[in-house]
Amino acid sequence: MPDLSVEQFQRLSQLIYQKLGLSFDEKKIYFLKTRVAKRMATLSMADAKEYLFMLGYADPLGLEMQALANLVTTNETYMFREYEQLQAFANHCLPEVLSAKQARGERKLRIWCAGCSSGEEAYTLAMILQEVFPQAQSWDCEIVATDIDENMLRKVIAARYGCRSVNEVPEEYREKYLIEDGDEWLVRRRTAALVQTLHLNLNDRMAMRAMRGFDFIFCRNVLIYFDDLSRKAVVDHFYNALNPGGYIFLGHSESIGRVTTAFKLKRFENHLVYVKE
Amino acid sequence: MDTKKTILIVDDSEFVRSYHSYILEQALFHVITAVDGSDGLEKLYTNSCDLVLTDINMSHMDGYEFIRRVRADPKYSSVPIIIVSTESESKDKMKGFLAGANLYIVKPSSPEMMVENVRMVMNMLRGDEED
Repeated sequence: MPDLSVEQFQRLSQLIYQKLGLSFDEKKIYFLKTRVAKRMATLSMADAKEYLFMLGYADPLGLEMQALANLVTTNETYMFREYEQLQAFANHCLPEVLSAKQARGERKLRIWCAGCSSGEEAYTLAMILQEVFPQAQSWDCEIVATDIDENMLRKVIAARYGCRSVNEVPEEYREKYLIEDGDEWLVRRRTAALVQTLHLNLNDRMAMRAMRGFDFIFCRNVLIYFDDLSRKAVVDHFYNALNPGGYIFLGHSESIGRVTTAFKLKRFENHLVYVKE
Repeated sequence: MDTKKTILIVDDSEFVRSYHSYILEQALFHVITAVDGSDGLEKLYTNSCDLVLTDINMSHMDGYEFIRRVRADPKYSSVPIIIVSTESESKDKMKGFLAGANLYIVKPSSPEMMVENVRMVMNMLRGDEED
């Protein structure tokens, strides 16, 4: 493992913060060291100084930063995670947004899974959408799954999951929307077709400005990696990306009250969600 | 005089069209869009396009057929065409190149890579014309 001095660790976390907006304090020194060690081994580098130089000055397209990002973001998730929150979405928020659209004669729905990891959440939403709103196929519905980790996005595109990912999927959903293939499960084509994947760094202001017209944003357990400053920047972009009346869903223990007052807090059953008025 | 190069984006996803349009417009390209291959042909015939970015899986006319028809018309046989697709197998890429694409980008692709690839193909083909 590379010998990373305190100064080198600070330089590394500063570079990651500048490029990715992710914040790593000194408690994460071992975590970062192991990830850097992997990259250095791949690049046949022996000296952390050399690696830091490359990351800071010889990575104009951000390819090495991307490779490091693929290693420092956590990707564990499963379908139908935080079930009660999904019930609030399915029983209250989605019908409310759909009926407002129908009243206006609109037939377009956009959902953004920000920090989608391997895609379980995006496909969960695709299943719920088809279940709650069977007309989804005749509307222009898109679930946009974005992540900074290209390896994860490839998994979203493959739409193939192990048992651990599908354990919590209700039996009737499993039969309708998944196909068993050996010891894996494949998302049915009709459901998978609702999901678009996109490589997106939440800290990339230009790319974030291109994200517009969403009715729902799910960003669960992603903002925990950001400090208040970059969290505020991301949440401000979310606000601009949402249509009026659109909802944002965060992780169970997450709050954005500290960084913005732009959203109105609403309670559905036991769940709090943020809405753009 | 407007010297911006014009890019035609052919994709059946409204989100992808709007996202790529924004990214390319920020990189100072002029963008027009089409919802599938047949719309793409119509837009190509009625606009002056410097490069085409096309998806593969589209209803009405898919990307392969769209490219074949573009290449069959001598007027458009040299317009640069880039395929942007989630289909990553060699057979898909080969089919794309045989149809007449100049580059095949497998998604996911970052916005920077998208812009760089567009510039690279434009410069490369301009170089060919100058030789």
